[in-house]
Amino acid sequence: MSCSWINSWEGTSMLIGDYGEIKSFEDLKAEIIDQDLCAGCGTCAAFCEAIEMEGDRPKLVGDCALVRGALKCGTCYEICPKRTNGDATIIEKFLSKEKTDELFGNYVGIYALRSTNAEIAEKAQDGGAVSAIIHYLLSTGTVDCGVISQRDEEWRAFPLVVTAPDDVTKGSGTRYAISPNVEALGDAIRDGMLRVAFVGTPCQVKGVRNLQTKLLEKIEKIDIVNIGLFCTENFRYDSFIEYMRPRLEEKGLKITDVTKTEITKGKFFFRSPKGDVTLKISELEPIIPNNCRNCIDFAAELADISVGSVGSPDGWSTVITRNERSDEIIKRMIEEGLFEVQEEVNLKIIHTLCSKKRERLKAKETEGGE
Amino acid sequence: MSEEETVVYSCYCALSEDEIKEVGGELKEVDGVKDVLDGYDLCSASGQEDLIKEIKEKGIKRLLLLCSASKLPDLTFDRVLRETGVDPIIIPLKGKEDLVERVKEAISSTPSPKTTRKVVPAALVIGGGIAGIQASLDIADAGFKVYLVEREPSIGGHMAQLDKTFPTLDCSACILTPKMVDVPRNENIELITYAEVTKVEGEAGDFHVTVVKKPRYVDENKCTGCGVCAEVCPVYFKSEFNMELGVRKAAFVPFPQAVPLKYTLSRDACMRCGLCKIACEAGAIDYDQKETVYELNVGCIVVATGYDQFDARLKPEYGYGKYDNVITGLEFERMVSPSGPTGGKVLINGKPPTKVVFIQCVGSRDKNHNPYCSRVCCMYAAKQAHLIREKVHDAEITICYMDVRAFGKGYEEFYERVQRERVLYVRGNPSEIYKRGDMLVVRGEDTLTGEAYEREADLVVLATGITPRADSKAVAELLGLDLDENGFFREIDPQHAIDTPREGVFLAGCCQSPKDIPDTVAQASGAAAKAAIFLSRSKKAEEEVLA
Repeated sequence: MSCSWINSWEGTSMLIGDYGEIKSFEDLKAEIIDQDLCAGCGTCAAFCEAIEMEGDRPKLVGDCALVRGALKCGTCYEICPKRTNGDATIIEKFLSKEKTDELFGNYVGIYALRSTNAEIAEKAQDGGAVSAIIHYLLSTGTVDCGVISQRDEEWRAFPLVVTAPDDVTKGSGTRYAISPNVEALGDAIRDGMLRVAFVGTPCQVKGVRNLQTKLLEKIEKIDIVNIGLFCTENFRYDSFIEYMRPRLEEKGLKITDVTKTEITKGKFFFRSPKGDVTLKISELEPIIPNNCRNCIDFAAELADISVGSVGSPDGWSTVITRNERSDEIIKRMIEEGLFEVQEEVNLKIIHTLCSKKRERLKAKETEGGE
Repeated sequence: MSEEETVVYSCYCALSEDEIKEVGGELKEVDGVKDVLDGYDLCSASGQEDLIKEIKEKGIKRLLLLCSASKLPDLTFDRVLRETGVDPIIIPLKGKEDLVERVKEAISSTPSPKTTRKVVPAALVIGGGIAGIQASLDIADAGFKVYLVEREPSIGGHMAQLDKTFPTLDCSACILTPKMVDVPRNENIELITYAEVTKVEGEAGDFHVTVVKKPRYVDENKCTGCGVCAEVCPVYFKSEFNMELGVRKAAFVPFPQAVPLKYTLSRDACMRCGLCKIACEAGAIDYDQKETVYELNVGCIVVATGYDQFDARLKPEYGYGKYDNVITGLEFERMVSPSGPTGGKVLINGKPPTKVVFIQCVGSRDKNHNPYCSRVCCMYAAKQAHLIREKVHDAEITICYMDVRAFGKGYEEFYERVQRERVLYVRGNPSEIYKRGDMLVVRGEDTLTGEAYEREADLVVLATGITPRADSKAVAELLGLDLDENGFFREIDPQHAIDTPREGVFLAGCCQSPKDIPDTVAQASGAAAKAAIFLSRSKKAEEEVLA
């Protein structure tokens, strides 16, 4: 590319000023992906045209800007949630500081809720809280779209962008497979849908927060309602199905027979009309992905709203609001009769699961100093 | 074979009275020659008056003029043509040996039809540096349309990169930007930036020029220059305007005072995140923008394409490219500019230098590189030394020179002033620069004392010379021009630095030869005058002037 101010050769002159280290996808690959620490969240792929998610791993499908003549970018490296700390900035910017629980983080309100929408309730994993919230945000025009996930009959998971409130139930139910939702969030924003209701696991929530604080911070019209799910771990589909298929076949079941998967009462359940298959939590140990092993965030501490089954009775969802705006949304939904409320949330069990997840990292640390 | 009878008119510069008596008879015998006349100084004002009188009185229809000049400017006898309708055919004469033959040849050749030539009252100026800007403003003020084509996203050229100018220490941007701003404001100037000339056809008075404008991916009609696209852009490039010492974003303007103040996207090498488009409130981002092709019709062309800096890597003994703290003249300008990457602070590895050495004539007056003198380097080094003295009070500053050429108005006084500011001038071109510990060592011989020295330095500034642009050969071919032995565009003769051998194409600024800003501006105005004179022949101009 010719330029009149410098000669047409490529100068090797010195660079003045501190512009920091130059990082690229290669560094992300070496430090995270190849170390099996990648969570498959899709954050790196969200805004870069050269990166695409292939299943639950990012792949370079084009030339990085650095190869095409740019000096510095490193966006993928900077925003990866498995790489960064920086929680303090996120908490400062997005969450209420009034009440903080040592284990499950900053909060404004804690509720046990059940959706009063018949269709949502029917398909719901527990109380249908996430579906109800996104349904509400779409119906009231508060957001342009929802980024959720869906599954196929063999229980693979994929991101889904919905704009019609009634489409929200396409994502109903929990599935234990990684769905790189943050990539879909990037696509939605680039398509012009700037106000988004996003739901994801704690790593994905953090990825979105990184985008909000490091890439999108100057564009005020981008507004993301960040809904996080309680999470002990997720699974990579291939290792999950390989492990589970024989156990299902033992009981005469195919994966396509399964209607619900859940972790409750200390066990993993495959529910089907032909009968249930149960596994002890300890039996899941071999297929827990490496990146889940070093995660200590059970309650999605950085989200706007965190939702899970733990702490509420069967058929109800625990909902933690972490800032004023989110609490307003829940309160309004309750007022408008979109939610039934149960007064008591079992905080003890939430604490227990938060501690357990923290201990997992400690155990890993004492193990081999990793 | 001409039907009209021809008169042969000999000027005494070609043939003396005696010679005419000798040859006159022979000439009259030639078929078609009606008469042989003679006169004094036919090209002069009075000589032409006489010609005009004779042509009218005698009803001469065709005239052969014998003259001694090997080449006369084409418009010399223009007045004769306009007042009589007879265009004298010049026969340059070296001697009278083949005179008769040549007269016969001229008579038997078919006369070219006496059409009034078409002159489009518009000019093309190629290059938007100070030369192009000055020429454009002047031609436009003379009442003609100007197309100013500039390759970069902004006009300004190298002068926009300078901090202060010698000898007055005026801020370069402060004297340049008012002119820059006047360009798009002038009703007669059409500014086409981020564009290049790709084809020139036709002839003087009627050039057909193709200009290709590259896509900025920003709609210039909508962009307000607010810069939010650059704020949200995550990708950095080395800033070309800052000589790659600083950075810019993929969405950028080259410098804050850019004209036009419209952003450009380096879309070939960006992340394509789409954030600039989302952030732009004016809706000016257009990823599908294509290049625009202009077909222009102009009467004359002013070439003002500027210069490149000598590539200091061609002198490896000075360690440029190897050592961080050996820099070129333009790199120093960017460092010391308030709008540059250090905000005007002179810094090497974050600290001000303690010992600075300037080396003159880098690439110039050099048998192995450019033999010519680059004309501005003595003065710009003195200026740069002064700027260091201003900013770093107790630095040791040395200038290694061969001669100090301080020829212009105020230059000698400035040179003396700089010496009084404790800038030491040591005569002799250093041979080598190498590293010793943390410092560089400049090795040379002081040719006044005859002693060799090793001088420590933590900053070395190479006064690299002005060279032709890397693509000047291609541009010359495009325009039908020649290059001189040093690669600059060739002027018509050493006494006339503006005209070229191609009629209607004029030169301005450093593309013709190295020169400082005052001379560039003067030459640019001169080129504008030449262009305006040429364009005044256009029918439109004549209607307005002679009406």
